[in-house]
Amino acid sequence: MELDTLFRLFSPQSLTLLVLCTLYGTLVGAMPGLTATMAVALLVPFTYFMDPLMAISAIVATTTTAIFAGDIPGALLRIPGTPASAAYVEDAYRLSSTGKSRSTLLVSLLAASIGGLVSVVLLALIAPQLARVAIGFSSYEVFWLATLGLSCAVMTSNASVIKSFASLFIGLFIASIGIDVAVGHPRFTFGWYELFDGVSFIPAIIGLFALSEILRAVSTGKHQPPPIEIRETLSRAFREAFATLARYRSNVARSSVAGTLIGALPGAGADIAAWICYAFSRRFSRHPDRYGKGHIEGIVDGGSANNAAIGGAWTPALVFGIPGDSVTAIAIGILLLNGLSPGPRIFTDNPEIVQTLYGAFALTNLLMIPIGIAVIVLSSKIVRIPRRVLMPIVLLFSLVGAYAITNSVVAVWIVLVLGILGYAMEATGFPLAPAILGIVLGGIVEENFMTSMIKSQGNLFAFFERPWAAALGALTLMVWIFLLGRALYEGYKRQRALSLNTPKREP
Amino acid sequence: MARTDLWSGLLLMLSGALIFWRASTFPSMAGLPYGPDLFPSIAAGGLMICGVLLLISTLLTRQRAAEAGNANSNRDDRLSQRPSGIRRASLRLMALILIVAGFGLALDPLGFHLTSLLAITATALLFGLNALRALCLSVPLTFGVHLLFYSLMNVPLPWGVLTPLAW
Amino acid sequence: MAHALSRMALMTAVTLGTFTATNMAQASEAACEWTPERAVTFIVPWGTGGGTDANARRLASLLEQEMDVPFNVVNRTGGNGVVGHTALARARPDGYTIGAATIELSTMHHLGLTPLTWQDATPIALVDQNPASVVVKEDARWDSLEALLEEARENPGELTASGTAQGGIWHLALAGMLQAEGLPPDAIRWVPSQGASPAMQELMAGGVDVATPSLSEAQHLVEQDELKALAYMSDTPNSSLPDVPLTADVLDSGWTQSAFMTISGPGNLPEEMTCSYARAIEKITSSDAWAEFKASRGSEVVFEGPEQTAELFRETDQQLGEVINAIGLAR
Repeated sequence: MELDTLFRLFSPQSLTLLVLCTLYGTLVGAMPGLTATMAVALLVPFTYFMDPLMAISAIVATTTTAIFAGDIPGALLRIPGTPASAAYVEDAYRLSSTGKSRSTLLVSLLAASIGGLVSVVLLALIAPQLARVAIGFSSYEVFWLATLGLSCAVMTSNASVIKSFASLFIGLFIASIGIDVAVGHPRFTFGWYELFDGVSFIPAIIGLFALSEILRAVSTGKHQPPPIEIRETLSRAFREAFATLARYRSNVARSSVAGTLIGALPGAGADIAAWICYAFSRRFSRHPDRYGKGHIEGIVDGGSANNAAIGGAWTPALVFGIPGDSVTAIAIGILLLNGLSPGPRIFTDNPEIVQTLYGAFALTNLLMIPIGIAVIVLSSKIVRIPRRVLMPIVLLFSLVGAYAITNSVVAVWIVLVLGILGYAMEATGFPLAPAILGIVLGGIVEENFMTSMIKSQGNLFAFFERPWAAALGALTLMVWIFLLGRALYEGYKRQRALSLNTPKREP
Repeated sequence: MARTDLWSGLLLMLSGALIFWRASTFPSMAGLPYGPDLFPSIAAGGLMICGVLLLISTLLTRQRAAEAGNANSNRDDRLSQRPSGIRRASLRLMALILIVAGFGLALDPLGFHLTSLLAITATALLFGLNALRALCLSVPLTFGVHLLFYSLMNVPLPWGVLTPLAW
Repeated sequence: MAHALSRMALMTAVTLGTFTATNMAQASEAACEWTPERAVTFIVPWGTGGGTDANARRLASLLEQEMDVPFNVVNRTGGNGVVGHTALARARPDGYTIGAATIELSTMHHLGLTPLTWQDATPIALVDQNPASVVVKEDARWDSLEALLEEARENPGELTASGTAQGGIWHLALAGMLQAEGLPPDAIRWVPSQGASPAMQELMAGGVDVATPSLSEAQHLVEQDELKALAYMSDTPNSSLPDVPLTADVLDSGWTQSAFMTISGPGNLPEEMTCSYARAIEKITSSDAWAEFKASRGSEVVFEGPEQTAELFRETDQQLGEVINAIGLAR
C-alpha cells in the first residue's frame, strides 16, 4: 500500500504536475498582490479533472512554493510578495543592498524547505494529538494568541518605543475600519459600501511597502541610491548559505517546530508564525541590536516558520474536517467532491490520502530547491534593471495586483492613501512593521475579544478561566511587562545621556 | 528630527481626538459594556497618548540640548538642502500621487489598457526616461500585464471605452 | 421509500412547472438564444472555500463548457454580503456580469446595511437550497431539540449559539424558531462568527453550546461522531442523514428554514439574456456532473426558473423581515 502511494507520487504524470505547480506557485508568490489562496482558487476548476490525490498534491505544491517565493521581491525590492514575508523584509533587503542577495535568498529557500520537511514529519507523527489541542482553541485562546502576536511587533521594532506604539495604533485604527463584528455597524466607511469589508491587507501592504518605496524613489530624483549589486558567485553564495544554516541550526529547528504548532491553531497562519518566530529569535539572539538592520538570523527563523505553518494548517482540516484557512477549506471541498470525508476516520479508511499528502509535502519541499535556485539566479537579473525602468513596472504590478484582490477600484485608493502614509512614516522615523501587524491582527484581536465578551456577558475573568487561555494570557502579560520595562529604561538612558551633556540624535 | 517630531506628535494627537469623537457616535450593544466603539477608542487613545509623549520628550530633548548650547546640531538634514531641491522633490512626489489618483479615477470609465498606458508613460517620464523609451516600456508592459492577469489569472480587468474590442 | 417516491413526484411536478413557465416566456418574448462572445465575470459575494463559493465555482466551470467562453469567478466579500450583492446588482446589464445572489439579498436591507433589495437584481435561477440544522457536541447533555428548547425556556439567555454573523441567515433561523415556539428570540444568545466553520470550531472547543449551520456544512462532523444533529429545519428528510429529526415533525409550529443561492444578473438584465442563462443552467443542473457534485456536499439538486426564484426572494423578504423586526435588529 505504501509502496503503491510512493509509485504513484513518482509517476511521470505526478512529477510533471508537481513541477508545474511549483513554477506556478513561484510566479504567484513572487508577485505582490497575488496570494497563495488566490492561486489555489484558480486551480479549482482543473482539480475537477484530476484524481483527488493529484489535486491535493497540486494544492500543496502551489501553496508551499508561493510562501517561499514571497521572499524574492522582499529581498530585491523591499516589497514582500505575500504577508508571510513581511516580518523580515527589512533584513533581507538590507542584506541584498550589501551585495548578498543570492546567499540571502538561498538561506530563505533552504530554511523554507527544512521548515516544510520538519512540519511533514511532525504532521505524520503527532497530527491527531496536535489536532486535539488545536480544536480546543476557542475565541479566548485565539484572542491571546493574536494579542501576543501584536506585542511581538513592538518587541521586534528597532525604533523608539513611543513611535513603535504609535505605528501599532495606526494599524489598529486601520483594522477597525469596516463593519464591526458585534452589532454590524459600519465604522469609518463614510457611506462607502466598498469599505464595509474593511481595508483588505494585501492592498494595505502594497501601499505601505511598494508605493511608499516608489514615492521615495521619485522624491530623491537624480540622487538615486546605487542599485543593488550582486557581489557573490553562485558557489560562494552556496557556501555562505550552508555556513549560515549550520551556525543557526538550532534556530531552524526551533522555528520549524514552533511554526508547525502555530500553523495548526485556528486563526493563525503563516504570517503570524513568521512574526512570532522572528520576535522570539530576536529575544534569544546574541545580537538583538542587529535585527532589522540586515541580520540573517531573523530570516532563518521567519523563513522556516512560515513554510512550516503551511504543513501545520492541515492538521485540523485533516483530523476534523474543520479548515484552519481558506486554502484548506478549498482542499476539503475537493476531498468531499471525491467522496472522501476528512475526519478521524480518514487515517484508517483512506490512509492513501494521508500518505499522499505527506509525500506531496515532502517532495514539493525538495523540488522547490532546484526550482528555487533557478528562480534566484534568474530573478537576480531584476536588480540590473535601472530604477527609472523598474519603478514604472513595479507601480503597474502593484496597482493591478491590488486590484486583483478586491476586483474594484477601492484597492487603488487604499494603495494610494497607505502609500502616502507609509512614505510619511518612514520620513519621520516611524517603523512600518507594527502598523502592518496591527492591520493584519487587529481584526482578529477585536473579533475574538467581542465574541468572548458576548459569550461571557462582559466577564473579563473568562479570559483566564480555561487552562490554555490562562497560559497564553500569562505569557502575553509577561511580554507587556518586559516592554514597559524597556520603555522606562530607554527613557532613563536618554535623560541620563542628555544630562551628561552629550546630546544624542534619536534613532 | 526635532521639528518633524513636534509636528507628528501634534498630528497624532489631533487624529486620535478625531477618531475618538467619531467612535463615540457608534451604537452600543444591549447588555454589554463594550461595543463597536471599544477598539477604535483604544486606538484613538493610544494615538493621543503617543502624541503627547512624543511632544513632551521632544520638547525636553530640545530644552536640554539648548541648555547644552547645541541647539543647532539638532536641525533636520533636509533643511540644510537647497530650497529649490526640496521644492522639486515635493513637486515630483505630488506628480506621482496625481498619477496614481488618476489611475484610480480613470480605471473604470476609460478601461485598464488606456489608463495603464497613460499612467506608465507618465511615470516613466517622471523618472527621466525620454518619450520614445517611455512608450517602448508602457506598450509591452500593458500587454504583458493583460496577458498575465486577464488571460492567465482570470482577473476581469475593466475594458472601459474599449469594451467593443474586448475578447 | 414513500418519502423518496413523493419527492420524486414533487420534483417532476416542479420540473414540469418550470418547463411550462420557460415555454411561456419563450412564446411571449424571447428566443432564449443569446450567447456571450467573451469572458463573463461571475461575482460571488462570499469568501473562497465556503459553500456558495464551491457551488459557484463548479457551476461556472460547467457554464464555461456549456457556453464556450470563460466564466471568471470573482469573490467580492465583505459587509455580510453587501459588497458583492451591490456590485452584482449595479453592474452593467450587458450579460457579461452575472453572479451568485444568496438569501441575504432579501434580508440585508431590513438590517439597515444597504438600501439594496432583491428587486434591484434580476433573478435567473435557483440552484442551491440548504435547510438549517441544530447541532451540538457529541457528548452534550441534550438528546433532542425539545430538551434543548426546554432548557432554553427555563433559563433564557444561559445558552449560546453560533453559526454566522449577527443577523445572518443562521441567526435568523434560530431566532425565528425560538419565536415560533413561543420563546423569546434571544432565549439562546447569539455569538457572531465569521461563518459556519469558525462557529463549529467554537462549538467543538466548548465556546458555545449550539450551532445552527446548514446540515450539509455540519454533515461530515456528524458522520465522524464529533457532533450530533438534533434537528433538520425542513419538512423532507436529508438524503445523506435521513435519521435526523425534522423540525416540521417535532415542533408544534412546524418551523422550517433554509438558505438558498440563486444565479442572478444585474438589475434590468434583458429578458433574452435572462432566459438564455436560465436555460443553460437548467441543462447543467440536470447533468450527472452536477448531481455528483451536489451529492458530495450532502445537498439536493434544485432548480427553479426566473419567476419562481423572484417569488422565493419576495416571500423570504417578507417572512424574515418579520423575524428581524421581532428580534430588534431592524433599523
